[in-house]
Amino acid sequence: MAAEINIQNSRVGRWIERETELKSLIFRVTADPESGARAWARTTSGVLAMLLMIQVVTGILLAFHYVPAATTAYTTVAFIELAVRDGAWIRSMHYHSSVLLPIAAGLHILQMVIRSAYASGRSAWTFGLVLLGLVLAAGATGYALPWDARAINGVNIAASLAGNAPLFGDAARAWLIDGAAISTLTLSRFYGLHVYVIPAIIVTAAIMRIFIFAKAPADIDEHTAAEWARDQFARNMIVVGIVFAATALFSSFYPAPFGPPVADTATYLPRPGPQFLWLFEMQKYTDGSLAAILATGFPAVIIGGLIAVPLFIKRKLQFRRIAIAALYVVGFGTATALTCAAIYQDASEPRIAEQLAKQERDETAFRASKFEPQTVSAAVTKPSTTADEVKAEPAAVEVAGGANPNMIPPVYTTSCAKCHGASGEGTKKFPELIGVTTREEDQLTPELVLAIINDPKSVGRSTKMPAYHDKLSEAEKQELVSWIRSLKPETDIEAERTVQTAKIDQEK
Amino acid sequence: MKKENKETIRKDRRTFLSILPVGVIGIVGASMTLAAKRSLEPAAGTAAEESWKTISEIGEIAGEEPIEKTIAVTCRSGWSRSVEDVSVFVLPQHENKVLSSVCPHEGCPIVWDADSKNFLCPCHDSFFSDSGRRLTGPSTRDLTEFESRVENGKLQIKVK
Repeated sequence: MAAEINIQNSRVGRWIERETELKSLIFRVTADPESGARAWARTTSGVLAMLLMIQVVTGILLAFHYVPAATTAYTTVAFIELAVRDGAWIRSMHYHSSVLLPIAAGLHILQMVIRSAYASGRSAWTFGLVLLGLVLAAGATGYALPWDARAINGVNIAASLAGNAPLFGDAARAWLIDGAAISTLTLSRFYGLHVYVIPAIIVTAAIMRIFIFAKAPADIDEHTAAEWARDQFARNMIVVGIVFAATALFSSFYPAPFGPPVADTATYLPRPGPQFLWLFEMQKYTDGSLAAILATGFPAVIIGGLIAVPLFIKRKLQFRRIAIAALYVVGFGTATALTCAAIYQDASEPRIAEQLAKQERDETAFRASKFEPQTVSAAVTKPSTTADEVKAEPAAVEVAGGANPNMIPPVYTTSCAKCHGASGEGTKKFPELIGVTTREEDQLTPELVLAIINDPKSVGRSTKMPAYHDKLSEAEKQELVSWIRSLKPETDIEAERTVQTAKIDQEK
Repeated sequence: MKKENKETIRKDRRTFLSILPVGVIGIVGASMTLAAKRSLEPAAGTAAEESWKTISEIGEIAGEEPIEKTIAVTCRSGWSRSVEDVSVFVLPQHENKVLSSVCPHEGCPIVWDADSKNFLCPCHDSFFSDSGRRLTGPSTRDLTEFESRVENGKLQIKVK
């Protein structure tokens, strides 16, 4: 006879029972005992929980290596794929789970439609639908992070969809990409949303669902409830185990897609993950504000409608049933049909199929290659080189003297900023430096600025400021002088810009 | 007899149902933990890509005082490669011995004090003789010496 293991009667089990609400929580979350196929269908919640947990864990592991900036994102993802141990598998798990999440959410909602669960457990129903929207949003924002050819195309499409939105299009586009053009700031937007905002909302929603909106079970005796909870937990775990094993195995054979670097996108055909093929297909037939309204309106109407119907229709039960079924079939049916159309079209057009096959071969070749590190300017020892490189870019407010007021010399930050403010604006007790070379009452010559830096007392200036003649090198002093001379009050810069623009106009 | 069998099956089922979740959670947890452990193993550290670096022509090194030389070393750390400046002291008065300029105490850059003919660390006042031997201060070790050689009239050190 097998030894009976009964966790509930063990010391740990008794401790949990005494010290926590776990037992009542499990009863509340798994209310309404059922058996057979209906009970098995309800294991979708366990699968969703498992997939979300994988996303959190693999996401954190990716964050240890990923650097979210336009200059480093591609290299660090390539590093994860080629050099980090298990990196390709971790990223693949993250990717494939992101494809499975909307599918699992769709099935989760389907079983609730079939069981008419929206009638009895409205919080579970609403949570399932909100979760579907959130995992889609997470997938869409995560798409940008590798900053490869796929990502750039995806961001371009997201930006024009936002820009084509009626009424607030321009504002939406500018907010989403952070400015007028797609840049490293755009990547920061998508990164912030994908890594912090959306996961935070998902976790908050899950906590609310489990701890606040869980419904106490109907009047059933405790023994039946305990038996049901244990059986249902086991059912969930069986399905969870199968789905996890399948995903893990699949991920070790099929890595997540990774396109070429942004530079060579000319011939590249970007294809989204399977969960967004419906959106991709939709774009082939729509343009302008219609495209924008359909792309966001379609999922919004389906998800919003499914949430709203049980809230507002409380009497005509037959009608409510039909309305929900219709919304579900239209929503998920359309998405499935569009997905199939997208796959079929890619496969049936020889030129496209050939290019996609070539992309696959390129990716295989990439995965067989050796990781080539990216050359960056000296990490810790010489911050000035970094400043030089940035200076090479056309500066927005380049002024006479060569220095750029936005380009604060490192020596200023270490030696002067404590008293004169982070960018020369001064502090409570010490004077500001902005305008000291141009203001009428000051009009310091470069020689005088240098003399003050060397020894303020020698030219009858401040007695509190130390002499720097032997503390800084001549080059550093010159750098400071030229930077201080570049500091001008806002109005001066504006005036100068107007003059410059006028000049350019004249030349035209 | 039959009734007993039924009882056994029920008990077996209950045992199975309690072990199974633990098993699944264990397997999922173990795979994720293993992936975490393997992917987070520390990198080999910042490693120089070439080993022997030329400091200068041997003919240029002369005199009674240490000469500070800065060499550019290409370093590889993870996904990035960068050129780092490494500053060393060559001691012509001690058979061109090459010393690291990093204080063995807590890593501050040491300086040569020409008046006292000592190396000193400005951070915590460790003093070293002109051959790098520890004199006073919190450091318990001498200055680190580089492995060096003369190749084709050039003084070279081995960087790691």
